[in-house]
Amino acid sequence: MKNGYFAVAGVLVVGASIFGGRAIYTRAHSQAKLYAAAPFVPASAKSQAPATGASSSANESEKQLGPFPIAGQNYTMELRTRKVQANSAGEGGDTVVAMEIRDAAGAVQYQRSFPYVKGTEDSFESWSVSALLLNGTNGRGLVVSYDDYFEPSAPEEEPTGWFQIFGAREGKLVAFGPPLEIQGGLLDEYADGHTYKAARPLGAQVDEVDFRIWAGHCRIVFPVRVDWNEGKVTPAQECAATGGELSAGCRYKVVPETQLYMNEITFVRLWANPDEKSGAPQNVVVKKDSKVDLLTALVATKWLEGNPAGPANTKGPMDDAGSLGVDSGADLWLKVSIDGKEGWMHSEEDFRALGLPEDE
Amino acid sequence: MRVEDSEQRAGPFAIAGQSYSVILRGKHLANLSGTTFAQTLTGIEIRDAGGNVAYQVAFPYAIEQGLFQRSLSASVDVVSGKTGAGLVIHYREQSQAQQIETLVIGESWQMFGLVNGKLAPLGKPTPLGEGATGGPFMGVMMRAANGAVSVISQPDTIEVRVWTGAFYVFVPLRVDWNHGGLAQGQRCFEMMGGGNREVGCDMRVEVQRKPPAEEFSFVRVFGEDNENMGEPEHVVVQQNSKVEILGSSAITTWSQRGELVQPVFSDLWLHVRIDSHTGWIHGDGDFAAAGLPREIPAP
Repeated sequence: MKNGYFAVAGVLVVGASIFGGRAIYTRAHSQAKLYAAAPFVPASAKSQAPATGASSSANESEKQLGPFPIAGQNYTMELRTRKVQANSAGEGGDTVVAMEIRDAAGAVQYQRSFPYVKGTEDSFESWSVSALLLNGTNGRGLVVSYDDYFEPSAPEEEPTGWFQIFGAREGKLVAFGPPLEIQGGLLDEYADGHTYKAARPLGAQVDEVDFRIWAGHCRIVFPVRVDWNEGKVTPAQECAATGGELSAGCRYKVVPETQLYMNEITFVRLWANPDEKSGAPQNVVVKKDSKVDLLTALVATKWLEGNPAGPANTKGPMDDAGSLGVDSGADLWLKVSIDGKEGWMHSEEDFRALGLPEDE
Repeated sequence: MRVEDSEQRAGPFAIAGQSYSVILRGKHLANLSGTTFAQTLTGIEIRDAGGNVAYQVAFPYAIEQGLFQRSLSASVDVVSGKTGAGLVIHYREQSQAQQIETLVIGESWQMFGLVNGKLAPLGKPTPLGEGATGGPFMGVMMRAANGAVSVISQPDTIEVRVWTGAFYVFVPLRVDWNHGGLAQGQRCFEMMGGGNREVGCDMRVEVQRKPPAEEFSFVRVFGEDNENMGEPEHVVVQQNSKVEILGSSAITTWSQRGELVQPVFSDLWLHVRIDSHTGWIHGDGDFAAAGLPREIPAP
């Protein structure tokens, strides 16, 4: 792996991810886990909602996140955790075995359970759950993330996790659909302390919430439409390949890369349009000190609906999840600016020449 | 416009104890010089020491807009080896259309051996592995994933220096002068998925680089002479770059036009070292970027 990613480190500060021993995940995750051991509790709520609750047994403990003020009510997230692994010194990390979202009266609004498998120092699996207040122009809710971590595991440019959006409907906090499996995460630019901000309003009852999606050599910004009235989450733009061509909806903003991996002078081929038949490409020199901006990505993405009935737990605790991401086998076209010269590139050899990150 | 005859003699050449001379007959346009198309070869005769014609051939010509439509020239060499000796005539043809549109020359060859005591053209080289009878032993070079293994037979091997459009390659031929056998010098296969696939063979190369005038030029350097084996490196050739040409590779087949034969290359690659990058390049654009533009070589 060439690169880790720090984009959501700030966001996950508020997470209730429990496992403290994930130092060799991606850099993003190792950063996140530094904070994960100290779950967020708003200062005003500390007296009534301690972050680290009393242990229910020698092996289990309870933790609470929140309260999250949504539509005039305060909600909290309760997490039950267990020690999943211990080292020779008897120290080890925890895994979440159950999560519940409760209203202020303690009524359970949503719950989900996770398997517990006792691990060893070298081999274990742990689940973590975190939540952020989702703040839009037209509504307010929760964005909950679920992470499953294995050890040993291969490093990835972007970890894969699940995200689920909740909002208030008829006086209750409800899930706006099953979780979505995403290789990527939330975006730094919308993280503000313990809140994740919607990118922009889409009309009077809808907000756009953006996610970061790994596209093989870059991270694209995938806009999601959150309809607060309907209680639905859908893609904000249609992306269907028609007649072999991608619709305009398949153009995505690209998250800037913090580092490109070039050792010496090289070149990339830039086409005027995202089509090799649009003419001969221009060879553009790239030097170590060249100014490289990733402007736009054109790539087919796929949104798969999950099962609204909830998990069947036959294929794991997230088997009700849908997914969103880049379509397998998609041909990524990336519009770049290199020292002021703009054009489209799309092949592995050009991505590699430019020093873009890639999975090992 | 006056068309005059010309005649040039080459030889005598000693072949298997006999002496042969080659007469190159031509036409030229009187009072016209400085252009390739003011003369052309119209025929060849090979005579023995007694003046008897052992072989002759005539080449048609035509005049268009005051010049020959094409200009044919030839050179003659004697080649000898372990199994005998023979004559090699190298033809070089340029046409007006080719001169205007693209920088291409046509090259062809004719080889003669003493078969049953008589000088005779050897015809088109037989592809190795395709079983000509009476010809040279069919040696085949197999290139496996772990390296090259050569199966080499014992006839004479000669090399024909062939212009590819941007550089010369030396194409080996196996010749049995005494029995009239001519075959490709090598043929290469790659073992893939239990079968064999024909791939290019390595050949010696002769180049005259002309470093590009631009500050930067660009080549895609592949790890192997195969586009499907890995992603190429993008290498910028700068004016002070050190460029070494290490060899070439191509699949060579031979075509026949009348009694002349000519090689046809496909999948032509150059093995290069550019500064610290070593690998294979192909295509006119990349050859030109390495300082080998497509052009007509000096005769």
